[in-house]
Order: sequence, then C-alpha cells, then structure tokens
Amino acid sequence: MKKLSFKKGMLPMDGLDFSEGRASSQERVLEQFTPREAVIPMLQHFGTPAALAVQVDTMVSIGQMIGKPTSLLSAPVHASISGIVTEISKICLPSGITCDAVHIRNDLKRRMDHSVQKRNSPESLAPKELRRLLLYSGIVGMGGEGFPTSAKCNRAIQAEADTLLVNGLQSEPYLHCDVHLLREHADRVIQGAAALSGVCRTRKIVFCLQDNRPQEIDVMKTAVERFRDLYADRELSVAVFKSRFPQGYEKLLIQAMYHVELNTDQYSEDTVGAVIFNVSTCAAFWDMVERNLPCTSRVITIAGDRMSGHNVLVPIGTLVSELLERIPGVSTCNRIVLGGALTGVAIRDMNTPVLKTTTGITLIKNEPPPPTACLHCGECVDACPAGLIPYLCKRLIDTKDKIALSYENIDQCISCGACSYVCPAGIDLSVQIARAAHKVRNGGIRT
Amino acid sequence: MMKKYPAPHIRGKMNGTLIPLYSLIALLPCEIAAVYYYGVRAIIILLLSMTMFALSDYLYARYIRRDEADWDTSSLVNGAILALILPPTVSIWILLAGVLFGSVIVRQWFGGLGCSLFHPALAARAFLSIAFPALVSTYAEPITSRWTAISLWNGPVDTISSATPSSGSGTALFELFSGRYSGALGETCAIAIVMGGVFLITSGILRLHAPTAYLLVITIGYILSAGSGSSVQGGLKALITGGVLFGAVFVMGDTATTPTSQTGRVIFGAGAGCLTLLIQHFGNEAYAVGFAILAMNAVTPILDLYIRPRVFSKPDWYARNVKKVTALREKKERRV
Repeated sequence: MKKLSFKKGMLPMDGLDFSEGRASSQERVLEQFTPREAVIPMLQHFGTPAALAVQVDTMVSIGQMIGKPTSLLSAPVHASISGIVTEISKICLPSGITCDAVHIRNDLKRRMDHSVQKRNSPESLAPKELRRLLLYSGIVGMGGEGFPTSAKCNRAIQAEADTLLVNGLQSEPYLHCDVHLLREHADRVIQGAAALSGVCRTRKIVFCLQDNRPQEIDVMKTAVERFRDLYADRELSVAVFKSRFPQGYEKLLIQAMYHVELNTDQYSEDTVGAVIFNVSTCAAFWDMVERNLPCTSRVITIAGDRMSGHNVLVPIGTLVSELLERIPGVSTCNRIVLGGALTGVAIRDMNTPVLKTTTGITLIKNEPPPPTACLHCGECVDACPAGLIPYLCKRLIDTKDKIALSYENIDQCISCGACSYVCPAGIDLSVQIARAAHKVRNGGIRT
Repeated sequence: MMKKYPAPHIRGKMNGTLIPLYSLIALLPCEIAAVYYYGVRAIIILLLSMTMFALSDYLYARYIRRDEADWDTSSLVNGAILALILPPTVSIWILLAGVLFGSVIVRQWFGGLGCSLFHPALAARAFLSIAFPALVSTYAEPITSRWTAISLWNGPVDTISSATPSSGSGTALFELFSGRYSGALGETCAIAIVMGGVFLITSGILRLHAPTAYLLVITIGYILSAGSGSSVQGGLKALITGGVLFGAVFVMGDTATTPTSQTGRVIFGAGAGCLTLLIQHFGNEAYAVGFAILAMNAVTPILDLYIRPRVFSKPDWYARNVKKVTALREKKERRV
C-alpha cells in the first residue's frame, strides 16, 4: 500500500519511545480512575460556555447534565462522578481563559443517571435520532481541537461531504491514547465512526494510521473486514501514512490524502468533501449511541521523558495533582505538560482539571540547554510544514519590523513547534511566531 | 505555582555546543597528519592559532557586549581551520595577524556567532595572502625537518619552496591520499579529510548539498578540460589537491556562511565549483578554492533572500512576490 505523507516536517528521533525502548505500550486499561473530587469547567470546547444547571449542594449522578448549551457553537457538560456539588467557582483553564467550574465531591457510589441504559438496536437508529444524541452527548473534538462535534457535523451536512476521515495519527512523541483505543477498542471506534457517518451522511469512512504502528494497522484491517457486512452501504478502508511530525494536523492530513492545500479560511468539508474526526471522538460517540452515556470520561496518556508511560481511563474534571499522586518522581519534574511534549501547555497550577480535550499528561525532567545565538543553519526552514522561514520571522519580531513581517505570510503558522524542536541553538521560535500569527489573523498586523 | 514554560518541551539531540565539539573531533585526523609531517612546528602553530583565536574572540566579545558573551567553542574550530590551511613555514607574527583579522574583523564586527558574512578562517587566509604574498606562499617538504622550529620566529628560511603546492610532483595515488607532498599544513592528507568528513556526515552535522555540488562541478570541469586525456588519477588529483576536498568538507559545512535553503546550498556549491575552475585556469592556482568560496559567501544573503520555500496553500511564485501581490490588492480595494 502506498504511504501517504505531506512534505517537510520532521521525525522526532529520540522522543518517540513511549515506554523505555518501546514505541508503544501493550498494557490494557483495567479500571477507571476514581478521584475524590472533580472540577468540571463549563468551557471545555471552542465556542460559548455552557450555562450552569445545578446549584451548590445538589446531588448529581454520572451522566447528569450540569451545563446546558447556550448556542449552536456550544456543548453541554455532564457530571463525570456521582456525589454532591460542593462549590461553584471561577477557575483559570490552561489556555488562559477563566470560566465557571462545578466542584463535585465523590460519594464513591458510582450512581449512574437514570437515562444511562443500554439501547436495543443501536445500529439501526435514524440519522435524525443520532443527531439529537450527538447534540446531547456534549462530545467535542477530543484530539485537542475542541470544536463541538455537532457543529462540525452541521458544517459537513451543509457542504454535502462524502468522506469521513478517522484521525488516528498521533504523531506527537509520548502520546498514545488514540492508538490504544484503536488496538483495544477497534469495534467501538468503527461503530462510532459509522454512527457519525450516519449523522454527516457520508458514504466513505477512512481510518488513518501511521506506519510505525503495524500492530494497530493489522487490528484495524481485520476489524474493518468484520464490519463490512454490517455496514454494507458504507465503504470502510484503512489508509497508512508515513510517521512524521506533525502528520496529525488537519490541513496536512488533507494535503497527504488529497494533495490539496487548504488556505487559512477554507474548510476541508467545502474543498474536498472530507470531514475529520478523532478516534477518541468516535469511541465516545459509540458510548452515547450504545448506552446513552454522554462524554464523561476519556483515556489519557501519562508519560514522560524519564518514565514509562501508561494509559488511564479518567473521569473528566479529575485534578492533575490527584492523578499524579501515585506516580513516582513527579516532585522532581521540571514541567508538567497538559497535552503532548511538542504542543502541550505547561501548567502552572497542579489543581488543573483534565478536560475533554486533554490527550495526555507529559512529565518532563530534562531541561534543555540555554539558548545560544542563531547559527543560521536553516534546519527550521527545512522543518516548517507551512513553508515559513522561522529564523527570519523571529529576527523580524525581535527587531519589531512590522512592515517586513507582514510580507512573510506569518498567518500560515500552525504552531506545531517543529522549528523549535529542530533548532540546534535552542531558540523558542514557535511560541513567538505563533503569537505573531495569532495577532495577524485577528487583524493586528495588516497582511 | 510553577514557572511558565513555552512549548515545545523537548528538543532535538543536536545543540549549539555539540556542533563545534564534533567539528573539532572531525578535524583531529588532519591535525594528527599535520603533526606527523611537520612535527613540532605543526603543534605550535595549531595550539597557538586555536587558543589565540578563542581568546581574542572572547575578549573582543566581552569588550563590545560586556557580560553577555561567554566562551564560544566554534572559535576554536575556526582557529584550527586557519592553522590547517596555512603553509607550515608561516611565522608566528603572520599567524597572529591572521588570527586577529579573522576573529575581530570578520567574526566580531559582523556580530559574532552565526552572523559572519565570510568564513573567518578563509577570510584571514585571503587577507594574509594579499598582505604578505611572499611569506605565506612558501611551502616546506614534509617529514624532512620535523624537529626544527626556527622558521616560526623569523619566517621561512630553510624551505624548499614551491610557489604552487598543487603542482608538486606528487601524482602517485599513495602520495595523493597520504598527502606526502608539499602543501598547506593540514589540507594535503586526503585520508584524514575523508575520515573527518565521514564522521561529520554520520553525526548529522555536515549537510551534503553544497559539498556534493562542489565536487561534482570540479569533476565535470576536469573531464571537460582534459578531454580525451582524462584519467582517474588526474581526476582524483583535481579533487584532492589545492584544498578542494578540505574546503568541501570543513568550510562548506559551516552554517553561518552557507545558505539556509537546500536549493541555495546546491547553488552555493556549484557556484563555488565554477569559480574555482575559472580561477584555476585563468588566475592564480593557489588562491582558487579560498577565493571562490569567499565569493560565494558574499552571495549567500542574496540566495537566502530570493530562494524561499513555497508557502503552504500558495503557488510557487507567491513567496517571492508578496509585496507586489499586497500592493495590487490594496490598489484594487482603493478603486472599489
């Protein structure tokens, strides 16, 4: 099979090992983590925050809606543990946005909401019913994007997309939760993708995997064969991509698949008729379809550069400090990163909750050496997937030359961090360029 | 509350202190060969050049940038390269003049690490060959006088001088590869240079674009000029003597003075090859490699400016013409 890839980018040579010497982990997720307390923010998605639907001292059960969607670009929030609401306060999310959060104390009874029960024939639900379930489930882009899935489906329906791509390309080092889902829960992923394709009315479903996961590719191929009869009206297939960073980005995936490059204001649904969902999103939707269980927990990876990694099933809202209590060596870590090692956010407060969009927690012990002057080596130019000249952009930002900067197409930056990773001088290129690009996109600097 | 850190949180293996360190290791075979052929003189020249280059670099950086400057290992590399491309008969005063020119004027006046327009060692060598043409173009026969260091103080006296090192009698294959013919201190021994080059390539420091294009152009030029009389031995001689191989491996791997784009580096190598051939045929053969590479160093900023990667989702010509496109768009908007 021909391997698909975009141009440029880089291969993290020393960081791909998930657990000492191995690229992936074979262990199963046995049990759900049980936190003492959950802090569930109302804004876990891209869009408007959900409106509070509970008060202090309300008893809640798993799957009960505690935040109602306020607009079309919003998602409901559900309680992830059963217990009593102790406090409603404002917290600061890792992204820097402040929003309301519901604190729930766990009563350790795991009471399910009365609506959570097994459906009789989940495969034969009508698209309209599926769409209602999707809106209720509160599922957002769980690969880190956070765009409400129901809004994305609406966009796909409007554009009459005909292909559904399931993004299983976790190209970031250490991160492993999507690959884990593909291996252990291939059925859930496939059925969830089929249900989503029912919502979006797409005919083709393509599962995208990287070639450094041969075991998962085999698992998916056999699972696809198994489900071919059940979903006879859909075309299921598996596409293999070269393992390169940042292969999992939406634009680069479309470029590798269709050889079409999306501009900053174009959507893949309109241009090539493809709608992309993450593996975790598909699996979460199948929970909703099968058991009527909304998005209350997710699999996250806990890994680091000096430790072996684990995949854990965590209720949403679990505090990072509680999650890392039993991990040895956390106190000696220099950085605790929410997300992957290349694009994640280093959290400053250990009491940050796990969100729907959190893919993993990366513990970093190795401190990079202090930066030196730019060596003019051009490694960043070779690595940048957007075709920018990072060292030149950085120099223009430093000298505040706004006119020259406006000719550098800086708004194309996807803030993947490849330039900073390859830089031998250790300069923080990607942060400053991404910040400037954000300003340009918001009209700060004229382009 | 912890400190705020920007992403990404891991870095690649290569870092700024490793590159000069690996380059120094790669230069070791050449230095050993130089010491074997020229004995105590080579040791003194090498050590003096490296230490003085690093010292003057550091002191001048401290003088202009105060306490921001710290020890820069890459100036040791430049010192070693300068020593290796000088003739073994060079006197200490001339060496020091070259070191000062290379470190202060070529390196620090242009901004220090990563900013120099010309390769410091090559520029210093060129300065010396223009300022003291007689003193730096006399070469000694290797191995003969290994343990006399007299010439270091009062210039070349006991030398068997030959103005052009590459026209020596050494055309036998063994002599070509071992470097046992009169020439510059460290650029004659092909085996040592190849060893250093292989080490640099395997450790991922030397990018092959410029050296490959350079050596290819030199080979094609040799075949064209020799016509039917071309032989493998003659081709090897054209590739190895006169510092062609040394320049390709150790000078074209320098990051600051070569273009940042891959296409740019290929053009850099090919242009330097053409200029080398031109100077060899119509000018002074001894200056060919150094001046060709220096000329292409001057072209590097232009290559950086005009050879741009294609911007994502934009046509090929877009990156070069953003200014024009923006002006046109504004004009159209104004008309509306």
